[in-house]
Amino acid sequence: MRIRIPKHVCLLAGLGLAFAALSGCTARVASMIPEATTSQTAQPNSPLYQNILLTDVGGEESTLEWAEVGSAEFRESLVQTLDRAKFLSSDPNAPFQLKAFIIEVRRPTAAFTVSVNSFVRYTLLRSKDRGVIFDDVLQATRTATLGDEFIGIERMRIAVEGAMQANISTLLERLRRTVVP
Amino acid sequence: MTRRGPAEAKGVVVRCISVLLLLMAAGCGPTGYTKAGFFAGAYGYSDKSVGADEYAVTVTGNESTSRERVANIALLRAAHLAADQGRTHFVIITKSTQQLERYGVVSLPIPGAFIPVGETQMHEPHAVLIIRLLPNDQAPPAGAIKAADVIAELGPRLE
Repeated sequence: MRIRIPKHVCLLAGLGLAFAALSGCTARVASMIPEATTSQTAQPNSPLYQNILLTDVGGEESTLEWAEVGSAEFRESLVQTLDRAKFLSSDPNAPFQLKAFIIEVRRPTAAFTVSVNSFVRYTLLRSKDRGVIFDDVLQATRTATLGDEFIGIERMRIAVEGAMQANISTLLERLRRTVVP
Repeated sequence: MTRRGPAEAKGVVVRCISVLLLLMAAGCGPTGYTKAGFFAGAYGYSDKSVGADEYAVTVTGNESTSRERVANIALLRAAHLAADQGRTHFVIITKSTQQLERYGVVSLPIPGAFIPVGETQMHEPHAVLIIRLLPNDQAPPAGAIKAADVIAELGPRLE
């Protein structure tokens, strides 16, 4: 039996692929930056206030070419977020160092509702003695539906970027409640 | 083009049904100690190096798998990683298990194709384990795990 695929389905699929190709494959920096709320911003009396140097960022995830998370984009998202939230220092001798490593960005293969989970390891160290203040894997989820985006590839990208954004947001909360011994 | 006789066609149908039943049976049981792939929900373990002598192991199980089982699969994989590197001991830096939400497409099979008719929500157990391999020339610290012990205990149950 021969299956005929309707022309409009081919056209939609083609348009989707062309749109994805034209708009690039990697998750966009701006879409991974969370709005830093007051409760996530460093308090001026905190030892972490503008005192964290972002050092190593890695673990690029590229299981699916159209929804990869590049280490460079992730680093830039972290830099801008930490800066806005008043945690970032550009001083190489800053008292604290933060390392971030993408452990996994778990995506479904195909679905109408796309639920993506991001797992990132964050390690906060004291610069002077390399003492570990925390070493946690933070998880965050973003679900994108047909209401967010009709084209599947773009829906996946929204979910991936959203999961990374939520993860960075969770980091801000983690930093905010960190008690430095 | 030659047409198949009724007996031959019946044989083809029986073989197809047998394969489908085998695939269904394989998909229904709990996830075993297997490397995760791209298809079939990507169930199983995967790992990556996250620094000098440090590895992250992640495991996702299907809905029939318990959180305890995915945690044990992660631990067994960690032990095999240590053994593969010629190390006897490792320490756990961080570990966690959680239930992940996933949506699957419900399809209506028709001859030659599947038509998506809806969605179903599923919950899959997931484990994350980060380990550091210890050098063999130093006494293992308190809390260090002997890889051989883990393989001996969990291997027969999971592999």
